[in-house]
Amino acid sequence: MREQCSMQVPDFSRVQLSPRVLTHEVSDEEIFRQPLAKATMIVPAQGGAQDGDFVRIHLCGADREMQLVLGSGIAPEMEAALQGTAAGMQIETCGEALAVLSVKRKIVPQLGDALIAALNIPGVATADAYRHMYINENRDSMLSMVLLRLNAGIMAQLKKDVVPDEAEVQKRYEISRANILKRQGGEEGYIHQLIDILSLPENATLSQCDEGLLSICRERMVETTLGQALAARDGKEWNDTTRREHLNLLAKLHDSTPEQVMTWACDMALMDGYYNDYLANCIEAYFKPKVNIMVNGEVM
Amino acid sequence: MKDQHVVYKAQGVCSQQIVFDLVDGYVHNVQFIGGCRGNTQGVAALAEGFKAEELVRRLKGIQCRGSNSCPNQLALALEQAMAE
Repeated sequence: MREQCSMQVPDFSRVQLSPRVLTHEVSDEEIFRQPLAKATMIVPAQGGAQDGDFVRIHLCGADREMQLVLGSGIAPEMEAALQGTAAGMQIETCGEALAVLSVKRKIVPQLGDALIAALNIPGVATADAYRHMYINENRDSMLSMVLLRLNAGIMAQLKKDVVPDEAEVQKRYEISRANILKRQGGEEGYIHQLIDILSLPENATLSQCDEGLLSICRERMVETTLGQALAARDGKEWNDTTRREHLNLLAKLHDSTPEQVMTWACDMALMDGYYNDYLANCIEAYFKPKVNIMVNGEVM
Repeated sequence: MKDQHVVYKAQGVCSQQIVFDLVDGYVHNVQFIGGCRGNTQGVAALAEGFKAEELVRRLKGIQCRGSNSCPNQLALALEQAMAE
């Protein structure tokens, strides 16, 4: 078990958190995306082809088949020539003979109570009831998203006060370096991976890669220090239990298992997103912001 | 293979959903909800008009977070849609 952290707790009173009540807007487009998709049909088009239609053609010269969405701009001249055509027609464009094999159209149903009733969801017969169900089922993940955004701003302010333990930074760097070297099968693979992660120039040297890895480790140590400080400030001991709590939270946020998160965490230096999630939890516990989920101007 | 408009719930990546049309085995109108904006828009633009099987062949197994990625999730979504 690790000892409770003893570093100096940053001065949180300096941090400006405004407003404490945050708003997250959810659109009907997002809420009804799934039911609309279920009820959407793709059928043979009546009348000539128009923008948005799927037109399958045979390129007679190249003896090749392809399909275009008219108006997509992938092949503007060809799309223009295919406007108004129907299956069975032959046209010539760009010096090429084309045979129209099929024209299909997407029919998106009207959003309304009838659409929702047709889904046969027990206890959900209207569009408004579906909105409530959607918000209730997704509230946790929406709150997480808002808090992650909030976290970025607060963290930038807090980080200024944190001085990481250089001995710990060095330790993490050595472990990470050894892990990557082992996993990548030597220095060449190590350099390749670091170039990839840090977007270094293709001709980056081993020492440049080492420097980059060290700076990531220092950055992560700042975040860890900060997280421990926040946990201590909140009266929580940084031990196996609280560590497990954070792992469970991360697993929940990423639809995964604590074991999988542990696997990701084996290279602490490469853990870009996950420590941010962990810190979001600490920051939420400390600042306790309120988040309102809004749909069509109403708090839900 | 059924013509369909698909909304796929992505798992374990930054994108939350992947939306696309599958018509006569061709992939159209791919849209990633969430995730790195530029990269996912790039993947979506490049995927336009491809045969689903070919896209699966090219995208399946691409790694970002662990052994998963947004392109890999698109491949899985296509496989699932093709099986319907």
